[in-house]
Amino acid sequence: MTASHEARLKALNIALPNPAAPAANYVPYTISGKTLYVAGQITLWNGELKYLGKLGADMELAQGVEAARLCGLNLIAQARHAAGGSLDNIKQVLKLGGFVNCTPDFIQHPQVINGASDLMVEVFGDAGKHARFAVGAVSLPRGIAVEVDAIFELV
Amino acid sequence: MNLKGRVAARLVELGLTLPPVFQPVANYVGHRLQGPRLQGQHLWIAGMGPTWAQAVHHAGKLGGTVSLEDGIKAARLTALNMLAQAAEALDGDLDRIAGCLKVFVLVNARPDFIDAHRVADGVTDQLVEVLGDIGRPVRSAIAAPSLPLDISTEADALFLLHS
Repeated sequence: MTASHEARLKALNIALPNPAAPAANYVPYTISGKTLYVAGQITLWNGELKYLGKLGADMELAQGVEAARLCGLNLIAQARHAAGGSLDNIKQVLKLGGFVNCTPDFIQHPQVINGASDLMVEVFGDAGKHARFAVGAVSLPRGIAVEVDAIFELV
Repeated sequence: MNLKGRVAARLVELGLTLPPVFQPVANYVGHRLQGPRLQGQHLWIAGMGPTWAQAVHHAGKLGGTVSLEDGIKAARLTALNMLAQAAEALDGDLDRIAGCLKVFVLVNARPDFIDAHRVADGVTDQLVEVLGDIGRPVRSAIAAPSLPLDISTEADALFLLHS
């Protein structure tokens, strides 16, 4: 028996932000059958916008990784809410889409998005291993450094 | 395309006409149905742009030659092109749409443009105006340094259909 996702989250002492309500005509998540789609999450911590900037210009790689991890924490918070308040209702992480606000010559997108990917494996174990893309964007909403969306499978 | 049903009536009410279905000019299709009809199919829509009869409207970059207002108009036209694809896939019966699950919006922009989300509102506002609450998807919005044919917006979508 593998440890529950909720138990692992607690053991790792990882705090989740409050799931943010979208500010426009879209929803934080949709569910079709056992598939849970979570909207692109940004670098918000309980309403406070963090990690504004552009990789390759005014932001260091380490900060970009932290920004991606914060997007990941928001994804997990949304997924937990969607799954009835318990991460144990999530079977696996299927896919992450990672977007990095960066200059044209920046090539370390994978390292940045690892911030979100590593978090998924920390929290969900083997079930946190996912398919992924990581690409550069010329800008992101409100000037944030990283945005990540996700698809989960429910139990 | 002859439209029928409640959504078609809603389009008339809003004074909207769907553009002619965009014809992809390469090895891909504009839409694809997934799954057996009786079990709630998924409808995948290819990346659409602000086109009308294959001609691009509002070409250019946000933060450059395209104003925020025109970018939002382009985004709305992009959403109408998604619905035109859906209408073709569903033999004109848009009432078969049970919900819009997901959209991904790309905005052609200069590096200092930070309002991709406001442009993306054009896509999701148009979907909700036409489809109602079921048209409200999850969304990711980003800016790209260039887009095909210099279109100012591109968006793809995943719809859930009634069984």
